[in-house]
Amino acid sequence: MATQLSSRLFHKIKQGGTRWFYSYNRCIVSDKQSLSKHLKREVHDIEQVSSQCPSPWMLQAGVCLIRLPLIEEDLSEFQKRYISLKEQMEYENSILNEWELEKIKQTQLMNDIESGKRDASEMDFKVSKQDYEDDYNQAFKEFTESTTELDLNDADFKNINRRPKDYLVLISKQKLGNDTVWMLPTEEWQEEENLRQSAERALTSHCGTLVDASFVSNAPSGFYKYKFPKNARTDAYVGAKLFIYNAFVPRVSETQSTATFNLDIDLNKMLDYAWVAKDEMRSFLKPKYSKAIDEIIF
Amino acid sequence: MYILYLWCKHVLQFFVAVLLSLIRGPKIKDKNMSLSCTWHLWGKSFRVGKCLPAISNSLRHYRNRPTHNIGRMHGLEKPKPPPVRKKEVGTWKPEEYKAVKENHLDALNFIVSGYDIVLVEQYAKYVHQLMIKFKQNILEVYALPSSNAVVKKMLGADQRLLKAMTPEIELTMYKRIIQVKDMPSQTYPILLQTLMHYIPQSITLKVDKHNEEQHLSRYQYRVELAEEKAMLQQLYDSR
Repeated sequence: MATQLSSRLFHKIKQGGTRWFYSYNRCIVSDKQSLSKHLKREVHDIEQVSSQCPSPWMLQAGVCLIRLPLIEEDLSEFQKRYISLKEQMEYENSILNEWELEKIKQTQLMNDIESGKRDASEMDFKVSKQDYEDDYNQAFKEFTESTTELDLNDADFKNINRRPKDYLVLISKQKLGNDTVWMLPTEEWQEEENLRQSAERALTSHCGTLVDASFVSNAPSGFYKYKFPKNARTDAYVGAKLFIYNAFVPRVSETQSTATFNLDIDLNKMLDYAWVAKDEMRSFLKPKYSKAIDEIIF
Repeated sequence: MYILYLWCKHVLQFFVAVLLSLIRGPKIKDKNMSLSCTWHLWGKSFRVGKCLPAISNSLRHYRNRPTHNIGRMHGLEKPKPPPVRKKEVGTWKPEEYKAVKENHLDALNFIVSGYDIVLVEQYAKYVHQLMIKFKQNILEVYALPSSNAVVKKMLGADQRLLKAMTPEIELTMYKRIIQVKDMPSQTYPILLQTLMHYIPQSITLKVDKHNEEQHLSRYQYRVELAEEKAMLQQLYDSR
């Protein structure tokens, strides 16, 4: 209806000349399309916006390669006291089991035979239970745990098996401008790439392709934002946003207690590396950076 | 004198008519009237000339002219001004949008295995409780048959076999499985990392996708069935 009228009006106005153009405009605003123009949302194409006003933050992905502890933590004083108390209570409330009853019988029998009360033919066993127990105890003394074979050189930061009771994180010394900075292995995010893929690339480019590491999720576990020093700031970038991904050094086998780390350093990128525990991080990294990593590892 | 009197009278009546028309309003006889109207007063009709545009008739339609129907808004919505966007004072609420479709993982098996049965059962219990707390869809919790590993001691030259000790040691590996289905892919890494951090010494945790093979491994070996199958196979081959 509206379009019909508008066409009729247009013809009329054509006859009348351009004098009535103003009034033509004024009356034909009743189309539903034109109405919606006012109510439409301004939908921005993300690519358009990013090309027009790009963000001044460089996106980076970093790897937090974690070595889980090899031995259990030491028990605290309270825990030790509680455990000993519990064991004592359990022992006091328990009843003798078959093995112990047999053992008592056998020792009694042996004593009686020696003293002469009973005959030697009543011995129905070759090896007494007490003998078994003695052998077991001796074997236990001779046994060595595989963890004591660990090379417990805690001072060497490059040894992956140092400090077997703690969580260790790999940090590397990198060039940032003119300075060398201790930080996690990081790589800049490139387009057509996941953040996780850039994190994996960071690991392989810094440590070589032989490194075994299992990434856990597609989403980053930590975040750190920093500004470049004023010398390094360009028109494009003010600073960088670092997304930290967790990766774990896998256990080689069920029997082996040590961890292995096959390193193939690219010395251009990674000048130096260290396996560092939580309390030692402060001496290497900046406090805010170490705080960001603290939140990731236990 | 008399002519003057008549002229004055007519003028007076004319002005009175105008005044009354202003009060009453015009009486329209037909639509096709020109820009003049007849005013009726006391039976006489006076024609008001074109010199009074202020009292012009706005309801006439000049259908033969191009200006016909301009300004006519019959049946049309009036143009509304664009709505004023008010700034909402308060906290910024982000637009709700779903970036990625939710992804749920298929049936997963959390396998807890170790040589110490107490630790295995306690840790399996912890895994089960964690899944319950996170409100996951737990399909099954079961134990796989335990496997025996026989360790033979090779004695050195100076070592002797102790009186009671046998050269063989049997180690049994105990396994427990917790089967979880439709875990959202966001919670899986969180749960996995907590499990990794709370695992006791000497226990292994393994996470697998649920297979047909793993399902079949629960069933015992059917002796009679296997024999009959073998017989059938022999008959088939002999033909």
